[in-house]
Amino acid sequence: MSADEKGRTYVIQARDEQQQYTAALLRENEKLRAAVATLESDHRRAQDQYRAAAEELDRLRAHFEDVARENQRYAEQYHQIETQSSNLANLYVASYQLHSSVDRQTVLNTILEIVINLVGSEQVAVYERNCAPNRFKLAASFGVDAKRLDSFILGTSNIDRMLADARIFTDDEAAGGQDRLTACVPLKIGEEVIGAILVFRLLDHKPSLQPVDHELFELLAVHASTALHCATLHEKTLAVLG
Amino acid sequence: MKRKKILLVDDSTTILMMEKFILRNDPYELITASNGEEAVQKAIDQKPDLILLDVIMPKMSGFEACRSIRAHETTSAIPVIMVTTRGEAANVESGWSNGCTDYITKPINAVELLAKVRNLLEDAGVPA
Repeated sequence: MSADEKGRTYVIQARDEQQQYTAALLRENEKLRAAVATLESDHRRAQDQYRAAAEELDRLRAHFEDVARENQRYAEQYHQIETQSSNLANLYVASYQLHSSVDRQTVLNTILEIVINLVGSEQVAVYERNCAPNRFKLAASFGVDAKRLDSFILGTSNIDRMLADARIFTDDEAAGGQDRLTACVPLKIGEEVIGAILVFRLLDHKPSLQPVDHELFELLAVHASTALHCATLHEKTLAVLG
Repeated sequence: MKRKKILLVDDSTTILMMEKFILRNDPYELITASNGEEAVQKAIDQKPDLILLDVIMPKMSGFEACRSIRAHETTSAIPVIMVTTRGEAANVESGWSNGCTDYITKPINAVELLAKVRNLLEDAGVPA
């Protein structure tokens, strides 16, 4: 083979190889284009999914906050109901106990117990209006000097003001452990004051009078007086009957 | 399921009624005693799951009753909640030294009592 033929053959071979290489490159390019298109599509889909997920997350966050708020509201309501139930329990027990006996001493003890255990004071005195006009005589007491507090006459003591208008007096600034008159509860039958409950020092750990204590005093003002009045009448009846 | 038994001990019928009223909605069997001696005897005889024990009582105080309950083989592990009008540290310390598990102060707070009772009964392995 001559040098010319050799050269031509080489050129042809080189051209063929170049064409094959070019064709391979074009194929590869095509594949890459397809891959890029797929990736771009995936990317768009991923972006769509991300946006949807972010929206869902926002929705879930908002829902979670709603649920948390609702939960908080229910917890507060539950606490209120439990407190209310506890207060009602106090009132129910006090009322039930006051009217569970017609024995005078039992009624007096019950009044003391209610103040000691339900209000939270270990210094209490129960007075009854005596036959003598405007004279109040100590009928029962706990934790006070009974001799010193044996009786008082209206018009001579600072309790007058409290009993004069037959309204409950409470010192809402009285804190546990302070020696002071915390409450004066007139015992009324209709508009007539037949006695009084004086509450002095609150238990040391009791911070102050609570709303339920005021309700207990309201209840005592009416129910303790009727219970005590009935028990006294019962005692007198028994005495008359011998 | 067996109901949990709680022994309520207080010489005040007002407090016993109050405790019964507070615990009435939970599935407990409630038994009562009105003094320390009766409490110890009922604890031995009836083996309650929990005892609510008043401190100041006739015949035997709550502290003495608590010591007796702790000293008896069959009742030594029963949780005891002391119910006291004295919330100050020295009195609470006396409760611990006499073997009480927990304490609450009078006037009884229903929410606090229920929480402590439920908590102690669950801790004692008695499901609520």
